[in-house]
Amino acid sequence: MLRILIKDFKAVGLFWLLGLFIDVFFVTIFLGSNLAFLLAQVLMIFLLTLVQPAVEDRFGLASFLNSLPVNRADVVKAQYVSTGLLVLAGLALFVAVPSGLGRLILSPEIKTAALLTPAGLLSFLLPLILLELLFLPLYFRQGLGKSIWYFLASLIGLAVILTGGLRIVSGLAERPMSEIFPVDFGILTVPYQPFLPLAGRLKAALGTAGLALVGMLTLSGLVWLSMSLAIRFYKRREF
Amino acid sequence: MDEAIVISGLRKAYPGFLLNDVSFQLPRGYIMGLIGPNGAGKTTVIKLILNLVRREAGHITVLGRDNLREETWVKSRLGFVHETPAFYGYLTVRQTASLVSRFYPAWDDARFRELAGEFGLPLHKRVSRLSRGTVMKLSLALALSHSAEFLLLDEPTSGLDPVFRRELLERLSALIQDGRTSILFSTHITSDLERLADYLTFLREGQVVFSSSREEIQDNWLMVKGGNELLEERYRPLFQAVRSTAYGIQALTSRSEEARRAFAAGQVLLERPTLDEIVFFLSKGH
Repeated sequence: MLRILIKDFKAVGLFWLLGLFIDVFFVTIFLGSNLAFLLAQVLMIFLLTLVQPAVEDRFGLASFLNSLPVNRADVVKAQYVSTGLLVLAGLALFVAVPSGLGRLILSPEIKTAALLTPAGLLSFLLPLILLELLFLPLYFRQGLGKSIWYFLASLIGLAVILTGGLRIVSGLAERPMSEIFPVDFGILTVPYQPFLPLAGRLKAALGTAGLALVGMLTLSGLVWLSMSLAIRFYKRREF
Repeated sequence: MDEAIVISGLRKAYPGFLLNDVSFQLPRGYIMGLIGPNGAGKTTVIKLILNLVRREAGHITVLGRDNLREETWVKSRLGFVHETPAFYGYLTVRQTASLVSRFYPAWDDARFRELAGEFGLPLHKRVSRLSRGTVMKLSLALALSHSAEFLLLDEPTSGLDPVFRRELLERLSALIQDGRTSILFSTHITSDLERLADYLTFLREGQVVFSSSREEIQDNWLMVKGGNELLEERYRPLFQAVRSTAYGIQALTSRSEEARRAFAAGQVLLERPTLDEIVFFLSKGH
């Protein structure tokens, strides 16, 4: 697996570094609004993880790479590891830009404190990780072109299910949706604001440590599920 | 005998195409040509050996090991050239070799440099700027630089100029002199095989028509040329393929001894067919 990671870094590492460089100087323009910065950062890092599949797709390398003495499961694992490393690099920038670099480039008056709280960091990490965990099995099943369409369709489907679920909860609880999922202009500076009531209730029920444990276990389970599916799909792929 | 590859009962279906019950074997230290018209299934067989597509039935062992159960071991001892080689276009030849070398414990960089010199590969030129023939040469140099015991070449001479094609065939011929390297070589340029192959496997519409040594083919196959009386029922079972013209017929048989006995001298013309004629008749004859 290490050989595959090194190969990927040697082949597309320059693109990754270029992407991170662009990220620093592009995403900082959104620092005026924490929500826009958060969304732009999630999108940029997600796009960065598509660089390697896009390069391999562009040059039609699937047959070549799969003819090398590598195990397909290792190819998948290497992709998850490199994605994880890019997410960590993205997290480092997410912390570094609002806390230092962005203030230097833009204005020292910018209020970014909400982003640098544990909730702020989670509001960057969780959606990004969930996007990756959804996308990667689709990519290993369908290749890049089709997987992007399936991915977008899945996101729309999930959005429909979530909003539908909220409406049902709101109806059953006989409470307005704005109470269950409060969205107002505050979301622009505190992007995780709508999730605070739910997080508060979970924290009260489980305690901070319990909530962290349940969160970690759920996330680990999702990573395992996504990677197992990706390995299963990739072993069945034909080139 | 120690076998380089044994394929038995291989089956793979695509919409509109069926590779069915493909079986053949190649002893170590020899070259086999895989021939057949376009769409016969040559590339599919090669992809099945490399596990790029999933087989529906059958077994493949390479150098005595199952190609699925011991995929990494098999591939580390196998050199491959795809019909349309593809590499990272923005990397140079040198960088491409460095990338590939990590995957082969037996990679010999001096050997690669020597081959690059012989093949005229520009080490510092980007792959995207190379001609199709030069990309094929790069693919060959990579395949030959890690002491592969089994070379799997899918149309390796396509896109190559005649001079280099000849040199390559001589190099491949020299490679097997060590008695341990074996080559499976798919092509539709039959003249390459007449010069090179020890064994030939002919595929048509996903099935093996014959798989035997070049000597057996030369001994067994015969071209019968004569008048339309050759179309009589009693002669029909002798022929694998027949083509008729306004001047008479030409028929191909693999039962040369029976054919020699069946036809009196002077009645017909009996000739040893070229490989090209065998392929043509078996592909197009009735």
